[in-house]
Amino acid sequence: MLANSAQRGAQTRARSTSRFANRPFARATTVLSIAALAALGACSPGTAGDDTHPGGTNHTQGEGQTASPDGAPLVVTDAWAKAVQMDAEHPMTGVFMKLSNRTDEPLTVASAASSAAKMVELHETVADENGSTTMQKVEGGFTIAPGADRVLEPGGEHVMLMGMTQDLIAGDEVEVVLTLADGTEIRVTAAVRDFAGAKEEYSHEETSEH
Amino acid sequence: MTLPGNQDNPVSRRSVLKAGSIVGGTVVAGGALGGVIAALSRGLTEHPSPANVTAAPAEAPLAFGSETLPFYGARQSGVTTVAGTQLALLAFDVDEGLGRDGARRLLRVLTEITSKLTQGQVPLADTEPEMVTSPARLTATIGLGERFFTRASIVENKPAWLRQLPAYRIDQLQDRWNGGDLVVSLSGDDDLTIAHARRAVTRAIARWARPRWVQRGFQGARGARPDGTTMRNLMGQVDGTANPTPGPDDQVIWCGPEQGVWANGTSMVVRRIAMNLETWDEVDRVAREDVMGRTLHNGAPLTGTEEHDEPDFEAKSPIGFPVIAPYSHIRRARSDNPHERIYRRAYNYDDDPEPGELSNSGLVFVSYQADPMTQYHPLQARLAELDSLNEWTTPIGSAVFAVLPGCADGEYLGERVLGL
Repeated sequence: MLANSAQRGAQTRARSTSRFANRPFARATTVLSIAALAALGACSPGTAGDDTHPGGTNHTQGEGQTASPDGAPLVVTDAWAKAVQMDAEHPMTGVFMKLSNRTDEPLTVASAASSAAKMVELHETVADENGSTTMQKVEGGFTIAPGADRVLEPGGEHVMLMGMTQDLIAGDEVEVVLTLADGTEIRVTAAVRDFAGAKEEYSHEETSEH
Repeated sequence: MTLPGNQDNPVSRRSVLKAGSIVGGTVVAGGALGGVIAALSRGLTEHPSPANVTAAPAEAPLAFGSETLPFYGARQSGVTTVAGTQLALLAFDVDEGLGRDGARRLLRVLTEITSKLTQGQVPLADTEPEMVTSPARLTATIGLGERFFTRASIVENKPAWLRQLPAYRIDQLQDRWNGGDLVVSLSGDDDLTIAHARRAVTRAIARWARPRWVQRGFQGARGARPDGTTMRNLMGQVDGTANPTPGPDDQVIWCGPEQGVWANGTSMVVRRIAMNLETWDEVDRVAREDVMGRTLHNGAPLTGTEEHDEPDFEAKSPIGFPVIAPYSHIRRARSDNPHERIYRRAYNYDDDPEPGELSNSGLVFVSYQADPMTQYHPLQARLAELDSLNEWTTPIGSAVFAVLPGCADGEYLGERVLGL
């Protein structure tokens, strides 16, 4: 499966951008500001982001795949988001994916953004000495060792969308932009799926540490 | 900067935390939960010894477990591809307000799941990834019932022939086995794989569709007989001998270009046929063969010696009676019109008897044909009018579906056909 994903990634046009000195947020190494999020523009349900056409660009890549050109440093596969309604009691949800570092240096996903949510953070799930679990922001982001994979999955690490600005309905797609420590952006199209689990985030308060 | 509990150490806090989330992640203090989490963690890694920090990779499935049939292509698999020995035929009712958006979402999700499961790959959000590793020729064939088109507001795309069959004199249909807006036909050689596929499909489309009926069936364990052996039904008969030949008879089986976007689709007729095995027990062997027109030994016609010998309906016995009786099943099923043929792919069912009964067995009869009204209906009408087999068989369920044409990698089933 990973080989197929890589082949699909290799066939698509470049979507990651390198840092340009004149881009206002390219110099940032911390979480994108909300103003920068707004600048990304709206992403309507069922479409795949910036270069859309009817049916969504990522149809050619399959569900949950991401455009990565040949030689892309970070390949993202099997991206999906748990369905959620804007008017839910806790309008937040997790996005999951496999991150594959194709270079011989560590790569760090420093931050993430999405027009589908007011706030996006990188989260991990931790247990205290009593065994209860909480989710908290990961300071410093997700670092992937050279040549290794890091899997964001329910019960573990994930991208957290908070303050939804649109419904995420199973069968649709949502775009999330990952920003690496060096400013490289990776656009990820996550397939939305109904999922019974990953409920723990709803049992906590809506603060960044929850 | 690395985080504690990295990816490379599965016996780590991460797997412990996963166990925690499986028990709900609710706040419970104390050592008892810690003990439970530790036990679950051991279960997750499958290696009880804590010294074994690297879980061994799953062994390659034995024998036929790793065999797959293609998913993508001009035509869906599961029609003329080799029949798996097990069947789970899932019929669903869809939301009245499904609409075009709902139909699109449902078919996208369904395609993603079945395209992966049939290849032994893990679908997105699948919580039992270990249950996909033995595809064993899993196929998932998807069809739409008449009412799907109404509820999805795409009536203009419905094939002209798609409607329920007329009532036949022999029918004793039960509504619980009739109809359906959507069908997913799962077949393959591993029942565990099929059970997981059924679960994956059912829960993923639950927001739009609810199970209406499930018909499970079997042909006989793979490997118990040479591959390619025609199956036997529960009356002991060789069942499925005279089938059109894929390739030369494609125009009988598949919708042609004259059906526009439905080309390379087909129709699926499902008839649940109950067998009265108690009264069949009263019939001696000679009479049984006379009813069918074929021998029980190898399914050869009474005028031949090998299963696939062409029956000679003109042959007479020494005293002048037709060797193959005019009321026999194969005589009544034969049409002079070569177009009136169907491609059969039936399975046995053997369910729990009703109170007071000894058996509850029969056939999940499934046939594929380009047009059920001009191919299946005349045949069934002729059998309803006269077929000695009717004495022991009764249709108790009936449904017709339009099987979608295939799709390419990157597309979803129904995308083009339905104009979604």
